Amino acid sequence: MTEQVADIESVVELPAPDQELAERATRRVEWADRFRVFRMAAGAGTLADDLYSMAEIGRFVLGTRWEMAGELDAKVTFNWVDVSKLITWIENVAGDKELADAIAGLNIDPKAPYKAQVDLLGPLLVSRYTQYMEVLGPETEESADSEESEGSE
Amino acid sequence: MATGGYVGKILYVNLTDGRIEEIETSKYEQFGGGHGMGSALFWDLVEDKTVDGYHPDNLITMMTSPLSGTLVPSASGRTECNFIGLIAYPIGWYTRSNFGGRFSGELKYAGWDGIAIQGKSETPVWINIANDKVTIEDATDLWGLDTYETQEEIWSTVSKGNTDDGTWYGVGTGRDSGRTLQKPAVATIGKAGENLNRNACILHDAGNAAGQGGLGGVFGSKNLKAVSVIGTGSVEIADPAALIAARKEFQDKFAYNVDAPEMESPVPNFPAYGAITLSPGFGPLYLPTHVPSRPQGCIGCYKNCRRRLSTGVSNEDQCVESLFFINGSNQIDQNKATDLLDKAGLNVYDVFNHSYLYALNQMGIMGPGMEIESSLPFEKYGTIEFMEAYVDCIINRTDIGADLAEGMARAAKKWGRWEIDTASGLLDRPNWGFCQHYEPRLEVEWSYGSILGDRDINEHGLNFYVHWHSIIRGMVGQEPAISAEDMVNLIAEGTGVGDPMGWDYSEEGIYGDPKVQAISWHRHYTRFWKQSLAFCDWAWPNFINFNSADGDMSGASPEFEVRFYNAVTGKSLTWEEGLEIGHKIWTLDKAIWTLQGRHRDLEVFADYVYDVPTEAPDGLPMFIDGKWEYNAGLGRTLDRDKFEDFKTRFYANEGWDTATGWPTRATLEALDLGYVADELESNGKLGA
Repeated sequence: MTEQVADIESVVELPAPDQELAERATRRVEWADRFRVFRMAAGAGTLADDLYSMAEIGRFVLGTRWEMAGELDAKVTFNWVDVSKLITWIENVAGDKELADAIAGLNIDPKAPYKAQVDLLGPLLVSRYTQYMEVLGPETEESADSEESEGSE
Repeated sequence: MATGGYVGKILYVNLTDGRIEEIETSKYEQFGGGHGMGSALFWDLVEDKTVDGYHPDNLITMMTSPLSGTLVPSASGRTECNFIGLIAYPIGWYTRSNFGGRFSGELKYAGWDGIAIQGKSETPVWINIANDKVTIEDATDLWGLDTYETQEEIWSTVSKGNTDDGTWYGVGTGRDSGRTLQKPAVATIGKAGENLNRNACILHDAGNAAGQGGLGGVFGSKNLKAVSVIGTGSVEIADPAALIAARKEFQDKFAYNVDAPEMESPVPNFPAYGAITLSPGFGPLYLPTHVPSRPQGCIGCYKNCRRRLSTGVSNEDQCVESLFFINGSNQIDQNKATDLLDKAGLNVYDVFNHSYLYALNQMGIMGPGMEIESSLPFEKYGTIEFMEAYVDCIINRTDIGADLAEGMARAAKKWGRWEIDTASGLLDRPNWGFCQHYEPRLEVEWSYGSILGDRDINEHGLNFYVHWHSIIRGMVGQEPAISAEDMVNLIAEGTGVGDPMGWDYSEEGIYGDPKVQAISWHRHYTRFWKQSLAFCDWAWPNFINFNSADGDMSGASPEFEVRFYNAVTGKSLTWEEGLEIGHKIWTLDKAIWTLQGRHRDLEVFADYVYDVPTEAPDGLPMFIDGKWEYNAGLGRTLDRDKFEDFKTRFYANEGWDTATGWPTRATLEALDLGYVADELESNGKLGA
């Protein structure tokens, strides 16, 4: 997911996670700990889906990046997450309270146009995921990307 | 009697004994065309209306309308099919499905207002219609071919290969039998239909499918591979000048102006925005810009919502089928997955819930050595390889595909999951086992219409306004183009219902008396104007004009439906008279369902609709604290008692018995359906 966003310079960088946190936050969770998301498609209504890792959630949020529409192999749909539930999931399931607090600190207005919401949320998720990968090493990132590409998102 | 539009006869083919006969259209003209004529034919030709969809006596009607094959915009290309369905659960209701393209026009040009097919052939056959010449052909060599291969073979057979140099097709062998530039219009089944899948569809050209109901399986049960039609005649128009004038005025006032659009998406390459502006080719989500494409439409369309791509993959797919693999990682694979369905003749809406199967796998319930044994490659879920394996197992009835070929609802029931998973919403099938389409707890003209009818209604005429308009504008950071109050006022005025509270989707509004009137209007409008006269679902009604050049956002409806119909037929039908014919057709359908076992006690949603609150935001107009607003409707459930009370008032409004939901004699006789009352009474099912 790290290569999908370039405009992350303005994001406040969090203290680097330690190995244990990075491993926990990037792990694939069990069904009971899944995170529910929704895609909105004019021909089919609102479609629920379940995601099982931080990488999947990141890709899902970044799926609503209009500037990518039309790029080779790009996939852009209108994806929606409940930001308050995401904060809870990141704190309680992924175990990254610093990231959860940082998202809460963005004060994302749930009634704002969703594009505005993801424009705030996406860069922070990417920045944090980049930190995880730096701690875990490039081989882990490659492995994680490979594993996630076979997941649901 | 009309002077235009109808071509005078309906084709009857009995595949059991090979009879090919003509039925005079005039006998059924009171029903308009399409669905209404189909239901009237069904009533007359199917003696035992309780037979299973696979039974040889089941009747397939493929009907046109007087507007088919004419220049009426977005009303010329739909073919309406009626039959006893296979997929609805727990009972395969008498149902409908329609498809676009060229088929209805070709049928009219061949001199037929419709086709009625009954019986069962002992061997695979296809029906070959070339003007007046109708033959039942051997389909042994076509059996096993996919839908694209089948069409190509029939094109070659009918045209005798004389188009390699681009010359015109010969129809028949004589000079006077005509010439046309058109290929034969073919509607065919693929492997799913041959294997009697309950979720099989028929496909015409690249992406026109009649999907819901399982018509492909009904074709297969009759050993009917395809129907082909080519014609060189024309359709008489009662007042050609009035038709041309109406079309030009309509185009000028209401169509998207490709040279100078009044409204344009602020985000490039955002096709969904076309649901508001009606811009060409808006259907299939995002298309990679390195794959050139161009808009494509059904015969006579002014919108042309589809696209053809240089790759040839996923051509003409513009609705839910293009979303089958929406969770794929890229658009190229998503389009490939859609092609899998098209070629197999598999209805996307029943196989859409592959995420449900993945959830069962992640729960440890479905997979190798698990409670529900399956060797599907769930470790590859999210890849095109998984989708290929998934489709393959369904159409070949292998692995869990043997269960899924019976439809997702019946499969879940067999697995012991139906009750628990529809109670939790893990399997979101709100009505009759059909996939959830639009939010049943909020957008109630969709859910109420579905549970009071026979299927997921798939009627977008109001949905594009009340649901998609505000959401799509919000997607790109824009405020709605029209206020909620102005929207409901325009709809109330256009429908003729008058009371804007009919389009209040608040907690109170969805059960109110105005909602009874709005739902009733919707059932009657769609049964006549859309499904019998074949005004396209993606274009009509037109209540709000987002392409207005002068700021007046009043839409084309109801004026233009009436003008077009009367110009073509020479009649002087009013909007209200059309709605009353819709009431008649809707009540006739209700009588058929009643004979099949329908009772008000069955017209209830899956438990999750009542018990699990909505989690995703919507954007429907709601009247809250004395003001209209677009509201997300989060946390909504339906109230069982209030919905039951709504049903009672709805039945009374339709003239049906409130205790059973069955039509009464008084209502049927008032609709000139006394003979229907007699049959209901003889079966002990006449409403009191």
